[in-house]
Amino acid sequence: MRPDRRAGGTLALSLLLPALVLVLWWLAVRLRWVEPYQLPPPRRVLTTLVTLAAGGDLARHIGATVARLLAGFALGALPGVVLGVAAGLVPALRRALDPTIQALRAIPSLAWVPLFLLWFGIGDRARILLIALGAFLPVYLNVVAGVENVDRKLVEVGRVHGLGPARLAWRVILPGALPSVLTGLRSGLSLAWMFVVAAELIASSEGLGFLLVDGQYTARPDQVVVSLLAFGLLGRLSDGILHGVERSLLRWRDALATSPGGGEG
Amino acid sequence: MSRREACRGAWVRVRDLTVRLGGQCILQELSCDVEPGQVVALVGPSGTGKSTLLRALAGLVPAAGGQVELRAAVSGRQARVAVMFQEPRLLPWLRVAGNVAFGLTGTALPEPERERRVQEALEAVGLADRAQAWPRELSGGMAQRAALARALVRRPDLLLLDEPFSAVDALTRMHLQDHLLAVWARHGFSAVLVTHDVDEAAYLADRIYVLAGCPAAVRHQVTVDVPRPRDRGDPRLAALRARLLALLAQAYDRPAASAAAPVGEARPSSRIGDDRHDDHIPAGAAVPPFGTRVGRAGRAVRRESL
Repeated sequence: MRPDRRAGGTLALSLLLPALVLVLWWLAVRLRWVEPYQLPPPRRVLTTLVTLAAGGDLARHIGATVARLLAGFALGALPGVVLGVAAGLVPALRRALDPTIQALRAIPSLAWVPLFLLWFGIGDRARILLIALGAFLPVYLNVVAGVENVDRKLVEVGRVHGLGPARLAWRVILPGALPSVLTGLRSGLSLAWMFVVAAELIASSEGLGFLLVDGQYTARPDQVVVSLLAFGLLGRLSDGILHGVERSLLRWRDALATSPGGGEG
Repeated sequence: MSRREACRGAWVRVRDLTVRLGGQCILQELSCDVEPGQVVALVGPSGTGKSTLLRALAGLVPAAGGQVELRAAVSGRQARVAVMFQEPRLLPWLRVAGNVAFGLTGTALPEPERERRVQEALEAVGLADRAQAWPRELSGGMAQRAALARALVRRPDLLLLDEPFSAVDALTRMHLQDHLLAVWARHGFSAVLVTHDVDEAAYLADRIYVLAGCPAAVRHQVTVDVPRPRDRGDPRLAALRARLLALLAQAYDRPAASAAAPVGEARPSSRIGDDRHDDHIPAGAAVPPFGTRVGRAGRAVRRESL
Protein backbone atom coordinates (compact mmCIF):
# COMPACT_ATOMS: atom_id res chain seq x y z
CA MET A 1 0.00 0.00 0.00
CA ARG A 2 2.72 2.41 0.89
CA PRO A 3 4.81 1.79 -2.24
CA ASP A 4 1.66 2.34 -4.33
CA ARG A 5 1.01 5.62 -2.66
CA ARG A 6 4.59 6.66 -3.11
CA ALA A 7 4.51 5.70 -6.80
CA GLY A 8 1.35 7.77 -7.20
CA GLY A 9 3.06 10.67 -5.48
CA THR A 10 6.07 10.35 -7.80
CA LEU A 11 3.82 10.38 -10.85
CA ALA A 12 1.99 13.48 -9.64
CA LEU A 13 5.31 15.16 -8.89
CA SER A 14 6.73 14.29 -12.31
CA LEU A 15 3.64 15.75 -14.02
CA LEU A 16 3.93 19.00 -12.10
CA LEU A 17 6.56 20.58 -14.32
CA PRO A 18 4.90 19.76 -17.67
CA ALA A 19 1.62 21.11 -16.31
CA LEU A 20 3.38 24.28 -15.24
CA VAL A 21 4.97 24.66 -18.68
CA LEU A 22 1.60 24.11 -20.32
CA VAL A 23 0.01 26.83 -18.20
CA LEU A 24 2.89 29.23 -18.89
CA TRP A 25 2.68 28.46 -22.61
CA TRP A 26 -1.04 29.13 -22.64
CA LEU A 27 -0.55 32.35 -20.67
CA ALA A 28 2.29 33.48 -22.92
CA VAL A 29 0.16 33.17 -26.03
CA ARG A 30 -2.96 34.51 -24.38
CA LEU A 31 -1.22 37.60 -22.98
CA ARG A 32 0.64 38.13 -26.25
CA TRP A 33 4.09 37.71 -24.74
CA VAL A 34 4.87 35.86 -27.98
CA GLU A 35 3.22 36.15 -31.35
CA PRO A 36 1.02 33.23 -32.49
CA TYR A 37 3.08 32.80 -35.65
CA GLN A 38 6.04 32.06 -33.38
CA LEU A 39 4.27 29.87 -30.90
CA PRO A 40 0.71 28.69 -31.44
CA PRO A 41 -1.60 28.15 -28.45
CA PRO A 42 -1.67 24.62 -27.00
CA ARG A 43 -5.17 24.10 -28.36
CA ARG A 44 -3.96 24.76 -31.89
CA VAL A 45 -1.19 22.20 -31.54
CA LEU A 46 -3.71 19.67 -30.32
CA THR A 47 -5.96 20.37 -33.31
CA THR A 48 -3.04 19.92 -35.70
CA LEU A 49 -2.09 16.71 -33.95
CA VAL A 50 -5.62 15.36 -34.29
CA THR A 51 -5.84 16.39 -37.93
CA LEU A 52 -2.51 14.84 -38.81
CA ALA A 53 -3.35 11.68 -36.92
CA ALA A 54 -6.84 11.37 -38.38
CA GLY A 55 -5.62 11.82 -41.97
CA GLY A 56 -3.08 9.05 -41.51
CA ASP A 57 -0.26 11.49 -42.23
CA LEU A 58 1.22 11.28 -38.77
CA ALA A 59 1.34 7.48 -38.89
CA ARG A 60 2.99 7.62 -42.33
CA HIS A 61 5.67 10.05 -41.15
CA ILE A 62 6.29 8.12 -37.96
CA GLY A 63 6.46 4.89 -39.94
CA ALA A 64 9.05 6.32 -42.35
CA THR A 65 11.18 7.67 -39.52
CA VAL A 66 11.02 4.53 -37.43
CA ALA A 67 11.83 2.33 -40.44
CA ARG A 68 14.93 4.41 -41.22
CA LEU A 69 15.94 4.51 -37.60
CA LEU A 70 15.67 0.76 -37.18
CA ALA A 71 17.44 -0.01 -40.45
CA GLY A 72 20.25 2.42 -39.68
CA PHE A 73 20.54 1.32 -36.07
CA ALA A 74 20.72 -2.35 -37.03
CA LEU A 75 23.24 -1.60 -39.75
CA GLY A 76 25.44 0.30 -37.30
CA ALA A 77 24.96 -1.63 -34.08
CA LEU A 78 25.48 -5.11 -35.50
CA PRO A 79 28.96 -4.44 -36.93
CA GLY A 80 29.65 -2.41 -33.79
CA VAL A 81 29.03 -5.44 -31.58
CA VAL A 82 30.81 -7.91 -33.85
CA LEU A 83 33.89 -5.76 -34.45
CA GLY A 84 33.92 -4.62 -30.83
CA VAL A 85 33.97 -8.20 -29.55
CA ALA A 86 36.64 -9.18 -32.07
CA ALA A 87 38.81 -6.17 -31.23
CA GLY A 88 38.32 -6.75 -27.52
CA LEU A 89 39.40 -10.38 -27.84
CA VAL A 90 42.27 -9.97 -30.29
CA PRO A 91 44.67 -7.22 -29.20
CA ALA A 92 46.35 -7.13 -32.62
CA LEU A 93 43.03 -6.45 -34.32
CA ARG A 94 42.31 -3.73 -31.83
CA ARG A 95 45.66 -2.08 -32.46
CA ALA A 96 44.92 -2.24 -36.17
CA LEU A 97 41.42 -0.77 -35.91
CA ASP A 98 41.73 1.69 -33.08
CA PRO A 99 43.71 4.55 -34.66
CA THR A 100 41.33 4.66 -37.61
CA ILE A 101 38.26 4.56 -35.46
CA GLN A 102 39.59 7.22 -33.12
CA ALA A 103 40.29 9.40 -36.14
CA LEU A 104 36.77 8.83 -37.46
CA ARG A 105 35.40 9.68 -34.06
CA ALA A 106 37.17 13.04 -34.14
CA ILE A 107 35.13 14.07 -37.18
CA PRO A 108 31.71 15.40 -36.16
CA SER A 109 29.47 12.85 -37.80
CA LEU A 110 27.25 15.45 -39.46
CA ALA A 111 30.26 16.60 -41.44
CA TRP A 112 29.88 13.37 -43.41
CA VAL A 113 26.57 14.49 -44.86
CA PRO A 114 27.88 16.08 -48.08
CA LEU A 115 30.11 13.13 -48.84
CA PHE A 116 27.34 10.66 -48.17
CA LEU A 117 25.06 12.58 -50.49
CA LEU A 118 27.70 12.57 -53.21
CA TRP A 119 28.36 8.89 -52.79
CA PHE A 120 24.91 7.52 -52.26
CA GLY A 121 22.67 10.18 -53.78
CA ILE A 122 19.76 11.94 -52.19
CA GLY A 123 17.74 9.03 -51.00
CA ASP A 124 17.15 6.61 -48.20
CA ARG A 125 20.45 4.86 -48.81
CA ALA A 126 22.46 7.91 -47.76
CA ARG A 127 20.15 8.56 -44.82
CA ILE A 128 20.28 5.02 -43.48
CA LEU A 129 24.05 4.83 -43.83
CA LEU A 130 24.43 8.12 -41.99
CA ILE A 131 22.32 6.81 -39.13
CA ALA A 132 24.35 3.59 -39.15
CA LEU A 133 27.58 5.55 -38.85
CA GLY A 134 26.18 7.46 -35.90
CA ALA A 135 25.07 4.31 -34.13
CA PHE A 136 28.24 2.34 -34.87
CA LEU A 137 30.78 4.35 -32.92
CA PRO A 138 29.30 4.33 -29.41
CA VAL A 139 28.37 0.66 -29.76
CA TYR A 140 31.84 -0.32 -30.93
CA LEU A 141 33.66 1.70 -28.28
CA ASN A 142 31.51 0.43 -25.42
CA VAL A 143 31.75 -3.19 -26.55
CA VAL A 144 35.56 -3.04 -26.83
CA ALA A 145 35.82 -1.53 -23.36
CA GLY A 146 33.35 -4.09 -21.97
CA VAL A 147 35.20 -7.07 -23.40
CA GLU A 148 38.56 -5.78 -22.24
CA ASN A 149 37.31 -5.09 -18.75
CA VAL A 150 35.87 -8.53 -18.12
CA ASP A 151 37.35 -9.71 -14.84
CA ARG A 152 40.53 -11.67 -15.61
CA LYS A 153 39.80 -13.80 -12.59
CA LEU A 154 36.57 -15.02 -14.13
CA VAL A 155 38.35 -15.73 -17.41
CA GLU A 156 40.75 -17.86 -15.39
CA VAL A 157 37.81 -19.78 -13.94
CA GLY A 158 36.78 -20.58 -17.50
CA ARG A 159 40.30 -21.71 -18.32
CA VAL A 160 40.63 -24.05 -15.34
CA HIS A 161 37.39 -25.62 -16.53
CA GLY A 162 39.05 -26.37 -19.83
CA LEU A 163 37.20 -23.87 -22.03
CA GLY A 164 38.79 -23.15 -25.40
CA PRO A 165 38.87 -19.63 -26.84
CA ALA A 166 35.49 -19.78 -28.60
CA ARG A 167 33.58 -21.24 -25.67
CA LEU A 168 35.42 -18.95 -23.27
CA ALA A 169 34.21 -15.98 -25.30
CA TRP A 170 30.66 -17.29 -25.41
CA ARG A 171 30.30 -18.44 -21.82
CA VAL A 172 32.43 -15.99 -19.84
CA ILE A 173 33.56 -12.96 -21.81
CA LEU A 174 30.31 -12.06 -23.56
CA PRO A 175 28.12 -12.37 -20.47
CA GLY A 176 30.72 -10.39 -18.55
CA ALA A 177 30.73 -7.66 -21.20
CA LEU A 178 26.94 -7.59 -21.50
CA PRO A 179 26.43 -4.52 -19.28
CA SER A 180 28.77 -2.49 -21.48
CA VAL A 181 27.21 -3.89 -24.65
CA LEU A 182 23.79 -2.74 -23.50
CA THR A 183 25.10 0.67 -22.49
CA GLY A 184 26.61 0.96 -25.95
CA LEU A 185 23.34 -0.02 -27.61
CA ARG A 186 21.44 2.56 -25.63
CA SER A 187 23.79 5.39 -26.47
CA GLY A 188 23.92 4.14 -30.06
CA LEU A 189 20.15 4.35 -30.20
CA SER A 190 20.07 7.88 -28.85
CA LEU A 191 22.64 8.92 -31.45
CA ALA A 192 20.59 7.16 -34.12
CA TRP A 193 17.68 9.41 -33.17
CA MET A 194 19.90 12.45 -33.58
CA PHE A 195 21.04 11.29 -36.97
CA VAL A 196 17.59 10.41 -38.18
CA VAL A 197 16.63 14.07 -37.72
CA ALA A 198 19.76 15.24 -39.49
CA ALA A 199 19.19 12.76 -42.30
CA GLU A 200 15.56 13.72 -42.76
CA LEU A 201 16.37 17.40 -42.90
CA ILE A 202 18.09 16.59 -46.19
CA ALA A 203 15.54 16.75 -48.99
CA SER A 204 13.16 14.11 -47.75
CA SER A 205 9.46 13.92 -48.52
CA GLU A 206 8.29 12.04 -45.49
CA GLY A 207 9.29 11.40 -41.93
CA LEU A 208 9.13 13.40 -38.73
CA GLY A 209 12.21 15.36 -39.80
CA PHE A 210 10.43 16.33 -42.98
CA LEU A 211 7.47 17.42 -40.89
CA LEU A 212 9.85 19.66 -38.97
CA VAL A 213 11.38 21.42 -41.97
CA ASP A 214 8.04 21.55 -43.76
CA GLY A 215 6.59 23.30 -40.72
CA GLN A 216 9.44 25.76 -40.79
CA TYR A 217 9.11 26.53 -44.52
CA THR A 218 5.33 26.86 -44.39
CA ALA A 219 5.47 28.89 -41.18
CA ARG A 220 3.44 26.40 -39.19
CA PRO A 221 4.95 26.24 -35.71
CA ASP A 222 2.11 23.96 -34.59
CA GLN A 223 3.35 21.31 -37.00
CA VAL A 224 6.91 21.76 -35.72
CA VAL A 225 5.76 21.33 -32.14
CA VAL A 226 3.75 18.22 -33.06
CA SER A 227 6.78 16.57 -34.62
CA LEU A 228 8.95 17.58 -31.66
CA LEU A 229 6.44 15.93 -29.35
CA ALA A 230 6.42 12.82 -31.54
CA PHE A 231 10.24 12.67 -31.49
CA GLY A 232 10.27 13.05 -27.73
CA LEU A 233 7.70 10.36 -27.12
CA LEU A 234 9.21 7.90 -29.60
CA GLY A 235 12.72 8.44 -28.26
CA ARG A 236 11.55 7.91 -24.72
CA LEU A 237 9.60 4.82 -25.76
CA SER A 238 12.49 3.20 -27.61
CA ASP A 239 14.88 3.91 -24.77
CA GLY A 240 12.33 2.52 -22.35
CA ILE A 241 12.16 -0.69 -24.37
CA LEU A 242 15.95 -1.08 -24.38
CA HIS A 243 16.04 -0.25 -20.70
CA GLY A 244 13.49 -3.01 -20.09
CA VAL A 245 15.62 -5.46 -22.07
CA GLU A 246 18.63 -4.37 -20.06
CA ARG A 247 16.81 -4.82 -16.78
CA SER A 248 15.69 -8.33 -17.64
CA LEU A 249 19.09 -9.40 -19.00
CA LEU A 250 21.01 -7.90 -16.10
CA ARG A 251 18.77 -9.07 -13.30
CA TRP A 252 21.81 -10.70 -11.72
CA ARG A 253 23.37 -7.30 -11.30
CA ASP A 254 20.39 -5.66 -9.68
CA ALA A 255 19.77 -8.45 -7.20
CA LEU A 256 20.01 -6.98 -3.73
CA ALA A 257 21.83 -8.63 -0.91
CA THR A 258 19.12 -10.26 1.16
CA SER A 259 21.35 -11.62 3.87
CA PRO A 260 23.49 -8.80 5.18
CA GLY A 261 25.89 -9.34 8.03
CA GLY A 262 27.02 -12.84 7.10
CA GLY A 263 24.42 -15.53 6.60
CA GLU A 264 27.06 -18.14 7.25
CA GLY A 265 26.16 -21.34 9.08
CA MET B 1 47.96 -40.31 7.31
CA SER B 2 44.32 -40.58 8.28
CA ARG B 3 42.00 -43.27 9.48
CA ARG B 4 40.68 -43.55 5.97
CA GLU B 5 42.04 -46.01 3.49
CA ALA B 6 43.86 -43.86 0.97
CA CYS B 7 42.92 -45.51 -2.28
CA ARG B 8 41.23 -42.66 -4.15
CA GLY B 9 42.53 -39.25 -5.13
CA ALA B 10 45.53 -38.50 -7.25
CA TRP B 11 49.26 -39.01 -7.41
CA VAL B 12 51.12 -35.80 -7.94
CA ARG B 13 54.77 -35.96 -8.93
CA VAL B 14 56.57 -32.70 -9.43
CA ARG B 15 60.19 -33.09 -10.51
CA ASP B 16 62.64 -30.25 -10.99
CA LEU B 17 59.86 -27.86 -11.93
CA THR B 18 61.12 -24.52 -13.16
CA VAL B 19 58.69 -21.69 -13.89
CA ARG B 20 59.57 -18.33 -15.35
CA LEU B 21 57.10 -15.48 -15.47
CA GLY B 22 57.84 -12.22 -17.22
CA GLY B 23 61.51 -13.16 -17.58
CA GLN B 24 61.83 -13.78 -13.85
CA CYS B 25 62.53 -17.21 -12.44
CA ILE B 26 59.83 -17.93 -9.84
CA LEU B 27 60.39 -21.62 -9.20
CA GLN B 28 63.74 -23.33 -9.61
CA GLU B 29 63.95 -27.11 -9.90
CA LEU B 30 61.22 -27.66 -7.37
CA SER B 31 60.18 -31.20 -6.49
CA CYS B 32 57.33 -32.39 -4.35
CA ASP B 33 54.81 -35.20 -4.09
CA VAL B 34 51.21 -35.68 -3.14
CA GLU B 35 49.98 -39.16 -2.32
CA PRO B 36 46.44 -40.35 -3.05
CA GLY B 37 43.96 -38.93 -0.59
CA GLN B 38 46.53 -36.71 1.04
CA VAL B 39 46.11 -33.08 1.99
CA VAL B 40 49.32 -31.18 1.33
CA ALA B 41 49.83 -27.61 2.46
CA LEU B 42 52.27 -25.18 0.87
CA VAL B 43 53.54 -22.50 3.21
CA GLY B 44 56.26 -19.92 2.83
CA PRO B 45 56.92 -16.21 2.86
CA SER B 46 54.65 -14.20 0.59
CA GLY B 47 55.98 -13.87 -2.90
CA THR B 48 57.79 -17.21 -2.85
CA GLY B 49 55.76 -18.75 -5.61
CA LYS B 50 53.36 -20.94 -3.65
CA SER B 51 50.50 -19.76 -5.80
CA THR B 52 52.64 -20.12 -8.90
CA LEU B 53 53.26 -23.77 -8.03
CA LEU B 54 49.53 -24.26 -7.59
CA ARG B 55 48.82 -22.52 -10.88
CA ALA B 56 51.39 -24.70 -12.58
CA LEU B 57 49.55 -27.76 -11.21
CA ALA B 58 46.29 -26.29 -12.55
CA GLY B 59 47.87 -25.78 -15.96
CA LEU B 60 47.45 -22.01 -15.78
CA VAL B 61 51.15 -21.25 -16.11
CA PRO B 62 53.54 -23.16 -18.37
CA ALA B 63 56.59 -24.95 -17.03
CA ALA B 64 59.96 -23.82 -18.32
CA GLY B 65 61.53 -27.09 -17.22
CA GLY B 66 60.93 -30.27 -15.25
CA GLN B 67 57.89 -32.47 -15.08
CA VAL B 68 54.46 -32.30 -13.52
CA GLU B 69 52.55 -35.52 -13.45
CA LEU B 70 48.98 -35.75 -12.19
CA ARG B 71 47.51 -39.24 -12.21
CA ALA B 72 44.26 -40.57 -10.86
CA ALA B 73 45.18 -43.09 -8.17
CA VAL B 74 42.72 -45.78 -9.19
CA SER B 75 42.77 -45.73 -12.98
CA GLY B 76 46.12 -44.10 -13.67
CA ARG B 77 44.53 -41.76 -16.21
CA GLN B 78 45.18 -38.02 -16.19
CA ALA B 79 43.80 -36.69 -12.91
CA ARG B 80 40.67 -34.56 -12.95
CA VAL B 81 41.54 -31.26 -11.29
CA ALA B 82 39.36 -28.65 -9.64
CA VAL B 83 40.55 -25.29 -8.36
CA MET B 84 39.26 -23.10 -5.58
CA PHE B 85 40.60 -19.56 -5.40
CA GLN B 86 41.02 -17.04 -2.64
CA GLU B 87 37.86 -15.29 -3.84
CA PRO B 88 34.74 -17.28 -4.69
CA ARG B 89 34.95 -16.16 -8.33
CA LEU B 90 31.35 -17.09 -8.99
CA LEU B 91 30.06 -16.00 -12.39
CA PRO B 92 27.68 -13.20 -11.34
CA TRP B 93 25.28 -13.80 -14.24
CA LEU B 94 24.55 -17.39 -13.23
CA ARG B 95 22.45 -18.41 -10.28
CA VAL B 96 24.13 -20.50 -7.58
CA ALA B 97 22.96 -23.74 -9.21
CA GLY B 98 24.20 -22.52 -12.58
CA ASN B 99 27.58 -21.73 -11.10
CA VAL B 100 27.84 -25.17 -9.57
CA ALA B 101 26.79 -26.70 -12.89
CA PHE B 102 29.60 -24.70 -14.51
CA GLY B 103 31.91 -27.06 -12.66
CA LEU B 104 30.65 -29.85 -14.92
CA THR B 105 31.92 -28.02 -18.01
CA GLY B 106 33.58 -30.45 -20.34
CA THR B 107 31.92 -33.52 -18.90
CA ALA B 108 29.42 -35.35 -21.08
CA LEU B 109 26.65 -36.19 -18.65
CA PRO B 110 22.94 -36.53 -19.40
CA GLU B 111 20.86 -33.66 -18.07
CA PRO B 112 19.16 -35.52 -15.18
CA GLU B 113 22.52 -36.77 -13.96
CA ARG B 114 23.93 -33.22 -14.10
CA GLU B 115 21.03 -31.91 -12.06
CA ARG B 116 21.42 -34.69 -9.55
CA ARG B 117 25.12 -33.97 -9.14
CA VAL B 118 24.56 -30.24 -8.75
CA GLN B 119 21.92 -30.89 -6.14
CA GLU B 120 24.24 -33.28 -4.33
CA ALA B 121 27.14 -30.82 -4.34
CA LEU B 122 24.89 -28.05 -3.04
CA GLU B 123 23.68 -30.29 -0.25
CA ALA B 124 27.24 -31.25 0.63
CA VAL B 125 28.04 -27.61 1.37
CA GLY B 126 24.65 -26.82 2.92
CA LEU B 127 23.43 -24.51 0.17
CA ALA B 128 20.56 -26.58 -1.26
CA ASP B 129 18.04 -23.91 -0.28
CA ARG B 130 20.01 -21.14 -2.04
CA ALA B 131 20.24 -22.88 -5.42
CA GLN B 132 18.20 -20.17 -7.15
CA ALA B 133 19.92 -17.22 -5.49
CA TRP B 134 22.23 -14.87 -7.40
CA PRO B 135 25.85 -14.78 -6.25
CA ARG B 136 25.36 -11.18 -5.17
CA GLU B 137 22.82 -12.30 -2.63
CA LEU B 138 25.25 -14.58 -0.79
CA SER B 139 27.45 -13.74 2.17
CA GLY B 140 31.20 -14.21 1.78
CA GLY B 141 31.18 -17.57 3.49
CA MET B 142 28.22 -18.82 1.49
CA ALA B 143 29.82 -17.70 -1.76
CA GLN B 144 32.98 -19.57 -0.87
CA ARG B 145 30.94 -22.68 -0.09
CA ALA B 146 29.26 -22.33 -3.48
CA ALA B 147 32.75 -22.20 -5.01
CA LEU B 148 33.60 -25.35 -3.08
CA ALA B 149 30.47 -27.00 -4.48
CA ARG B 150 31.50 -25.97 -8.00
CA ALA B 151 34.84 -27.67 -7.41
CA LEU B 152 33.31 -30.79 -5.83
CA VAL B 153 30.69 -31.33 -8.51
CA ARG B 154 33.49 -32.34 -10.88
CA ARG B 155 34.37 -35.21 -8.54
CA PRO B 156 37.99 -34.14 -8.74
CA ASP B 157 40.89 -36.48 -8.09
CA LEU B 158 42.87 -33.44 -7.06
CA LEU B 159 41.55 -30.25 -5.49
CA LEU B 160 43.80 -27.22 -5.64
CA LEU B 161 43.08 -24.51 -3.07
CA ASP B 162 44.73 -21.11 -3.29
CA GLU B 163 44.32 -19.47 0.12
CA PRO B 164 40.66 -20.37 -0.08
CA PHE B 165 39.66 -19.19 3.39
CA SER B 166 41.83 -16.14 3.85
CA ALA B 167 39.22 -13.59 2.83
CA VAL B 168 36.59 -14.55 5.41
CA ASP B 169 36.31 -13.89 9.12
CA ALA B 170 37.86 -16.28 11.63
CA LEU B 171 34.65 -18.06 12.62
CA THR B 172 33.56 -18.56 9.03
CA ARG B 173 37.04 -19.81 8.21
CA MET B 174 36.77 -22.53 10.85
CA HIS B 175 33.37 -23.55 9.50
CA LEU B 176 34.75 -23.71 5.98
CA GLN B 177 37.78 -25.72 7.05
CA ASP B 178 35.55 -28.27 8.73
CA HIS B 179 33.29 -28.31 5.66
CA LEU B 180 36.30 -29.05 3.53
CA LEU B 181 37.46 -31.84 5.81
CA ALA B 182 33.97 -33.36 5.83
CA VAL B 183 33.70 -33.49 2.04
CA TRP B 184 37.31 -34.63 1.78
CA ALA B 185 36.56 -37.52 4.14
CA ARG B 186 33.60 -38.48 1.97
CA HIS B 187 35.10 -38.06 -1.49
CA GLY B 188 38.71 -38.92 -0.74
CA PHE B 189 40.35 -36.59 -3.21
CA SER B 190 43.91 -35.36 -2.87
CA ALA B 191 44.29 -31.71 -2.06
CA VAL B 192 47.00 -29.10 -2.32
CA LEU B 193 46.42 -26.04 -0.18
CA VAL B 194 48.31 -22.78 -0.37
CA THR B 195 48.00 -20.92 2.90
CA HIS B 196 49.58 -18.17 4.96
CA ASP B 197 47.96 -19.49 8.07
CA VAL B 198 50.14 -21.98 9.97
CA ASP B 199 47.13 -22.97 12.09
CA GLU B 200 45.29 -23.88 8.94
CA ALA B 201 48.23 -25.82 7.55
CA ALA B 202 48.66 -27.76 10.78
CA TYR B 203 44.95 -28.47 11.20
CA LEU B 204 44.25 -29.57 7.63
CA ALA B 205 47.39 -31.09 6.19
CA ASP B 206 48.99 -34.51 6.19
CA ARG B 207 52.17 -33.04 4.81
CA ILE B 208 53.48 -29.50 4.72
CA TYR B 209 56.04 -28.15 2.29
CA VAL B 210 57.86 -24.99 3.30
CA LEU B 211 58.85 -23.03 0.22
CA ALA B 212 61.52 -20.36 0.34
CA GLY B 213 64.14 -18.63 -1.68
CA CYS B 214 64.07 -16.61 -4.82
CA PRO B 215 63.62 -18.47 -7.09
CA ALA B 216 61.79 -20.75 -4.72
CA ALA B 217 62.31 -24.40 -3.95
CA VAL B 218 61.07 -26.70 -1.21
CA ARG B 219 63.17 -26.04 1.90
CA HIS B 220 61.43 -28.26 4.42
CA GLN B 221 58.95 -31.03 4.43
CA VAL B 222 56.92 -31.70 7.54
CA THR B 223 54.77 -34.79 7.92
CA VAL B 224 51.79 -34.42 10.24
CA ASP B 225 50.87 -37.70 11.87
CA VAL B 226 48.21 -36.33 14.18
CA PRO B 227 45.17 -38.61 13.66
CA ARG B 228 41.84 -37.27 12.45
CA PRO B 229 39.48 -35.93 13.47
CA ARG B 230 41.85 -33.43 14.95
CA ASP B 231 41.25 -31.17 17.86
CA ARG B 232 42.13 -27.55 17.17
CA GLY B 233 43.47 -27.33 20.72
CA ASP B 234 45.65 -30.43 20.37
CA PRO B 235 49.08 -29.62 21.87
CA ARG B 236 50.77 -31.54 19.05
CA LEU B 237 49.23 -29.10 16.56
CA ALA B 238 50.42 -26.23 18.74
CA ALA B 239 53.94 -27.69 18.67
CA LEU B 240 53.73 -28.09 14.94
CA ARG B 241 52.54 -24.53 14.57
CA ALA B 242 55.53 -23.30 16.57
CA ARG B 243 57.86 -25.41 14.45
CA LEU B 244 56.34 -24.00 11.29
CA LEU B 245 56.70 -20.45 12.54
CA ALA B 246 60.36 -21.11 13.27
CA LEU B 247 60.88 -22.54 9.81
CA LEU B 248 59.08 -19.60 8.25
CA ALA B 249 61.16 -17.16 10.26
CA GLN B 250 64.24 -18.88 8.83
CA ALA B 251 62.76 -18.68 5.39
CA TYR B 252 62.27 -14.98 5.82
CA ASP B 253 66.00 -14.95 6.54
CA ARG B 254 65.49 -13.19 9.83
CA PRO B 255 66.62 -14.17 13.28
CA ALA B 256 63.99 -16.55 14.57
CA ALA B 257 63.64 -14.57 17.78
CA SER B 258 59.88 -14.27 17.81
CA ALA B 259 59.28 -17.92 17.14
CA ALA B 260 62.35 -19.39 18.81
CA ALA B 261 61.14 -19.27 22.40
CA PRO B 262 58.33 -21.81 22.15
CA VAL B 263 60.31 -24.13 19.92
CA GLY B 264 62.90 -24.79 22.60
CA GLU B 265 65.49 -27.40 21.83
CA ALA B 266 63.68 -28.42 18.67
CA ARG B 267 64.75 -25.18 17.05
CA PRO B 268 66.63 -26.28 13.95
CA SER B 269 69.07 -23.40 13.97
CA SER B 270 71.90 -25.49 12.67
CA ARG B 271 69.87 -26.33 9.63
CA ILE B 272 69.73 -22.87 8.15
CA GLY B 273 70.88 -23.04 4.60
CA ASP B 274 70.32 -26.77 4.29
CA ASP B 275 68.44 -27.66 1.21
CA ARG B 276 65.68 -29.76 2.62
CA HIS B 277 64.58 -31.57 5.74
CA ASP B 278 62.13 -34.18 6.58
CA ASP B 279 60.72 -33.15 9.88
CA HIS B 280 58.34 -35.51 11.48
CA ILE B 281 55.71 -34.92 14.10
CA PRO B 282 55.01 -38.39 15.48
CA ALA B 283 51.52 -39.31 16.52
CA GLY B 284 52.52 -39.87 20.11
CA ALA B 285 54.69 -36.82 20.52
CA ALA B 286 54.87 -35.54 24.06
CA VAL B 287 53.55 -32.13 24.88
CA PRO B 288 56.50 -29.81 24.46
CA PRO B 289 57.39 -27.64 27.42
CA PHE B 290 55.67 -24.51 26.29
CA GLY B 291 55.61 -21.29 28.16
CA THR B 292 52.49 -20.22 26.35
CA ARG B 293 49.69 -21.56 28.53
CA VAL B 294 47.77 -18.31 28.39
CA GLY B 295 47.74 -18.33 24.66
CA ARG B 296 46.62 -21.93 24.50
CA ALA B 297 43.85 -21.27 26.97
CA GLY B 298 42.78 -18.48 24.69
CA ARG B 299 42.69 -20.92 21.82
CA ALA B 300 40.57 -23.31 23.81
CA VAL B 301 38.07 -20.56 24.48
CA ARG B 302 37.96 -19.74 20.80
CA ARG B 303 37.31 -23.37 19.98
CA GLU B 304 34.42 -23.51 22.41
CA SER B 305 32.81 -20.61 20.66
CA LEU B 306 32.33 -22.86 17.65
